[in-house]
Amino acid sequence: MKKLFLVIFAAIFIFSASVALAQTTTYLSDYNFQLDQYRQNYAEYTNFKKDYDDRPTLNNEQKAILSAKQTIISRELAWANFYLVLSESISKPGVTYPVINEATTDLTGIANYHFGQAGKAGNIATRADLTSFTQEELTVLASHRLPVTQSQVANKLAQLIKFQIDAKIAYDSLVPKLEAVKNEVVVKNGLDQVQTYSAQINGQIEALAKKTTDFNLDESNQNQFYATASEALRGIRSLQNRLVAVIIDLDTNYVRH
Amino acid sequence: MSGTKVKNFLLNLYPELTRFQRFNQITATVIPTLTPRLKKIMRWGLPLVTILFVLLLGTAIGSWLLGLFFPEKITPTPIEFIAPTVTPSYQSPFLPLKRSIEEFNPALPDPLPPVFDDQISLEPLSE
Repeated sequence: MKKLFLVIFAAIFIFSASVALAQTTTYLSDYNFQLDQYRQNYAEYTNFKKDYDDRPTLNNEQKAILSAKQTIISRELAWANFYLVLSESISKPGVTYPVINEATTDLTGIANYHFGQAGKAGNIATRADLTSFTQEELTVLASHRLPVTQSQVANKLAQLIKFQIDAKIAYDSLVPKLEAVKNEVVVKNGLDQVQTYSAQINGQIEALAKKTTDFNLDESNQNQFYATASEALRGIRSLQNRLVAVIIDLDTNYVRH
Repeated sequence: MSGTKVKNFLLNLYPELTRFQRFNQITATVIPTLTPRLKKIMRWGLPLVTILFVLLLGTAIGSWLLGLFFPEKITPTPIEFIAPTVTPSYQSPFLPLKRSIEEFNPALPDPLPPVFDDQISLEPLSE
């Protein structure tokens, strides 16, 4: 009976692990596939549109509309999968933080919107349908720019917060082992440095998260925001590097192995 | 060269040979047995054998002399190999975390969004 339970448990574990892995790779492979489809369809659409512009016959119009429809469908599916890839990357470290939770919710919503648009594009039949579809799409895409920009920063913050959590676990496991030498000046200094760096890193992560939440596309330039955020991320990475270097030094040189 | 000529030549060189009865016997038995074919072989064979012999002898003497002038080969004694003392080097379990931090890419946007034509239409779009 025990063996049977073990076999069932192992089977469930393997199944769930493979499902999770397959999910991640599916989004990426779907994205790549749709991107290829879009490129092919777009090249055809450009030719048909040129034919239509040169000779606006009903036949040429129909060919151009059909080709535009195919291009839009592949574009919408590519967008949807791109946002799912980004969302997956944010969720991967398993971090819970307001800006991160918000980003995954936003991205899921945006991906669903694009899936819906891919379905709706199938109904395009006339030139007017195509124009109205694109007009509506342009308005919605403009509203997506802010959450997508914030999600890009959230993706990076999720990774840095995970490093911070791992460093905290490392520090907590190290402190009891240093009990015998904790009064030595070097060890004391090392432990103090860890505290200082941790406080600085947490402060900088909070500041960047706040800046990301408060970001307003109407007032600031997206590229400028990316540049500033990138600089802040570089600073946090540098501090984390120093923090972990101190932890490793304490572990290697002052813990009895 | 006939057998008699050889005999005469030898006797001319060494007249004392007549005193040896054995010499007379050999010349009496060997010389008549020398057939024209054998004589021909001896005529060409003897100088060839002599030349070969001289060459081999010269080579042997030459190599012996070469040995006299070349210094003896000195083989160095093998250098003693000292094996380094193996000291157990401790690898902190936190090194992979450090590597992950170092590999973190702060560039934005990442992943780079694709570039699509969002204005697909057969009519001019209003702003």
